[in-house]
Amino acid sequence: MRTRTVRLAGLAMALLFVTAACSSDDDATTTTTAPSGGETTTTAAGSSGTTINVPDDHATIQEAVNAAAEGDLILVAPGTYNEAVDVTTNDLVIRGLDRNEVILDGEFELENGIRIIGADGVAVENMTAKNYTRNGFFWTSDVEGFRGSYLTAIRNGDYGIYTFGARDGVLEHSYGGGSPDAGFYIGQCYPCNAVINGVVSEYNGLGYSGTNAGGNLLIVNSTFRFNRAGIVPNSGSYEGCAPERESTLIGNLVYDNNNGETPAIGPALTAMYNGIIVPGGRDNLIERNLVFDHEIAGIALVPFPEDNPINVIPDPPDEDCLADAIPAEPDVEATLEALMFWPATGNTVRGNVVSGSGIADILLAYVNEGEVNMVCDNTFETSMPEDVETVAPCEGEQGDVGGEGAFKMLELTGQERPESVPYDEAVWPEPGPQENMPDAATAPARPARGLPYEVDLDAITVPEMPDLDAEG
Amino acid sequence: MRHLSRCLLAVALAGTLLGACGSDDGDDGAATTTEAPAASTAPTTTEGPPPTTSPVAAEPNGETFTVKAVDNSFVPEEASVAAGTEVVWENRGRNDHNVIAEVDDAPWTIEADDFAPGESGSYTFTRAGTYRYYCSIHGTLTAGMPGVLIVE
Repeated sequence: MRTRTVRLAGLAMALLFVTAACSSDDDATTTTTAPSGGETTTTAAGSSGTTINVPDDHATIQEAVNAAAEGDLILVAPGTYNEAVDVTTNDLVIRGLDRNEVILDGEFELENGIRIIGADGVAVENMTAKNYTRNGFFWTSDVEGFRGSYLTAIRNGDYGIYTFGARDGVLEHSYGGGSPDAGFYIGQCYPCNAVINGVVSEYNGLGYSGTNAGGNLLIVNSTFRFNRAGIVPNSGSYEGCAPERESTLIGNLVYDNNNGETPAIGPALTAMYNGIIVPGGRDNLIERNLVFDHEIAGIALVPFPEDNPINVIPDPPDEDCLADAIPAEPDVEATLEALMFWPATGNTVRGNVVSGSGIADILLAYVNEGEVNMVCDNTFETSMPEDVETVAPCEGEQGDVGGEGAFKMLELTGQERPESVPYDEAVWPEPGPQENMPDAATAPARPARGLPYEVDLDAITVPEMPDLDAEG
Repeated sequence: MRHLSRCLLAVALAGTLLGACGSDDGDDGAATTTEAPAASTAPTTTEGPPPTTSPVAAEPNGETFTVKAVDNSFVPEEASVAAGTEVVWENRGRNDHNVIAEVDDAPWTIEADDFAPGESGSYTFTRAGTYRYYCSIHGTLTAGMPGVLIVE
């Protein structure tokens, strides 16, 4: 007899308005003289200067990847590619010539569109991955240096664009829709040294999820809408590098994440109806976001009650981590509680504009003694506790937050949620043509080195209200 | 009251969330997804066999050894067990995983549909040998999420 223990989801809990503030994603390039003389080629750090064309040189992307050397550029012509590509060579740049016409299609049978396993510096650009049973684009296993630019991930069975145990990277100008977990995910890294910039995530279980990720991790200028829940940094013992901490969310447009017609994993069901929700995250900065129209909370800081944890909350946490989770030794395992509470503490919520929340625009739920969060300079109408900026100020003594928020979240998360819709059956308005990478045919290869680029956070302003009528 | 009683809230949350999520003891009868102890129900077929497998089969010895699948690795990644030991794979992560043997059609392969978070599967290895496997979702035999059992 097989055993199954259905996991409890945590307390749960977006979209964006893209401001044009920060796209300084230019890596250093050098110009070299070709051996034949006369012509010059421009190459970036780590680039070999060699280009492999698909299908002219190799019929499939995988064959091209297998033939490539470090630093090569693989240029993929428009077409549909029914393949699952694995990459283990450092510094490859895999680029589609047209984002909307270079389509990797898993046909609901293949697992991952492009999966980078343990290879550093790999960049994937300007293409679409859809209908994979697991993930569209996936970097994993001790990766240092990654970049996903101008990518579209549609209707994949787990995540859209997914990094795990990867650091020093950027996900930018990309789209993730129709996945039951997150459209965008960065997990298991500290410090991550990563940037999510200018992305759109919609019709997913979660817009963004980041378990045990943080440390110079920026999520900026992006839009999270029409998901079950918007932005969800979270902690858990089942991945390494816990807890989630020190993520920076600035200038995002987060709205109407109440969608009961998406595919959804368990935590997405539990987190539903919230814009930005931080279950068990620490020391995050949530600032200058525009958040509106959520049936529960616009911004919620809540504990994460992990059921059946595999280890204790690390104290102190690992200060340099990409490593996988380690289950507790038997003597420690025997002491683990059935529910282990990860506190949401040390977070700052400042200067956001939040409205249209069913329960509270800003909600704090405390369980453990000593939890402290800082809330100030926000524009909002409702909160829990009612005087949230007085009892949880950014400066000065903390007051009594009370138990209203915790009990309300408890009550709400116990309520029935619309069931998950299978990802291959969900009906949603797929995106139209997406912006192409400039000069895809001629731009020099730029392996994912020297990342992330610097973002001028001070220049980012609260997004403007979108024209919802125009969106239809 | 400055804070909720942690115990009170824990009990309440447990009840609420358990009630909300429920449980599933579904049994599809798969030969490779047995609950410990499973010596009596373990398949009697050979384990593969990979090239290094011993031709001599041992009797089930009543011992069990557990490999935990977390996100995203097998723990321990490499282990040695005595022939006749029942090896149990538990998915203790929040992601789907699978256990794909190096050798095609090995009876101890566990597909993702039978190995969702919280589920487990087992197999009693009766022949000495080296058995390599991986989670195909998160890696290959050599990278990402590999595992190896050495049956002695």
